[in-house]
Amino acid sequence: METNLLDRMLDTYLAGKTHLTVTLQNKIRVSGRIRAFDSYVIIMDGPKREIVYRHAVSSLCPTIASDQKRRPLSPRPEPAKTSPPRPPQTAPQKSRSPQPQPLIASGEEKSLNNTLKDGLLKWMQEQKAAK
Amino acid sequence: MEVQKEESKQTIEPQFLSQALASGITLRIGQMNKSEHEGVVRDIGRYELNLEENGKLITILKQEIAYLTAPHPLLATTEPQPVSVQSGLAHTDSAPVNRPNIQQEFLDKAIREGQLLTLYLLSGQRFKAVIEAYDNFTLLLKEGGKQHLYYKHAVTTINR
Repeated sequence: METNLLDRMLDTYLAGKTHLTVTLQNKIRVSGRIRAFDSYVIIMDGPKREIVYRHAVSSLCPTIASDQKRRPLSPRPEPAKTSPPRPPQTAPQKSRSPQPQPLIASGEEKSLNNTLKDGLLKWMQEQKAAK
Repeated sequence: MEVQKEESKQTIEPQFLSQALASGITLRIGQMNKSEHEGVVRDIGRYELNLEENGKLITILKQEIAYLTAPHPLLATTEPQPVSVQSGLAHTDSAPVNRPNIQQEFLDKAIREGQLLTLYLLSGQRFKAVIEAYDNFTLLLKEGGKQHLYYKHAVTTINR
């Protein structure tokens, strides 16, 4: 039985610059690369730099495999070359529930919002007219 | 004999895990936050273990594991537990003098009589099974042909 398996794994991920998803006890996921770690904390290099207490960590899991697996499933019209796709940062519930939202790029989302707004306006006008 | 008994109390969890590692069996791991993993154990540490799930190596901390389920019994509990029947006075293991070890008595009795126990976990889950053995940190349970290793740190109450 290894006495410090976690240290070894963290070392491997640090050396390999592996993109990691760290799941915390409250199911929040923190993803990014490990920048540094000691016996109490892990510093993650994600979109933001985060310091994670090791006593709050539930599991570590490299992200690359899951990304490759997920990519063919969701045909995202994202410029994947310039910015590597990241799993959602602080909203794991959202990512788990099968919502169509991630499929919509930000631009489309805006237009969708607009169409929604238009529809709503139209409907309100119709209601008014009916009265 | 006292020493041997103490030893057997220590080794259920390591034995279970090393058996799982050796046989390459697919374990189901339930976590404290109700999420579940299923995979093959690859490394065992003192406080964590590596699980290969869908080709990914996941490191899970034991403190976050509520239970491990093996599809078939991994450990044969041949220990004749009744040895501890006459331990009404022998409970002075390492505990404070003259203090009965209530947990030990409860679990030993349940093992001897094959009682069906109901465990309530911190996560609110309920689980019914027969206890086969236990050590300082875990309970080995049998249910539906499967063997389960429950960490005591995940258990709130045990009912008969």
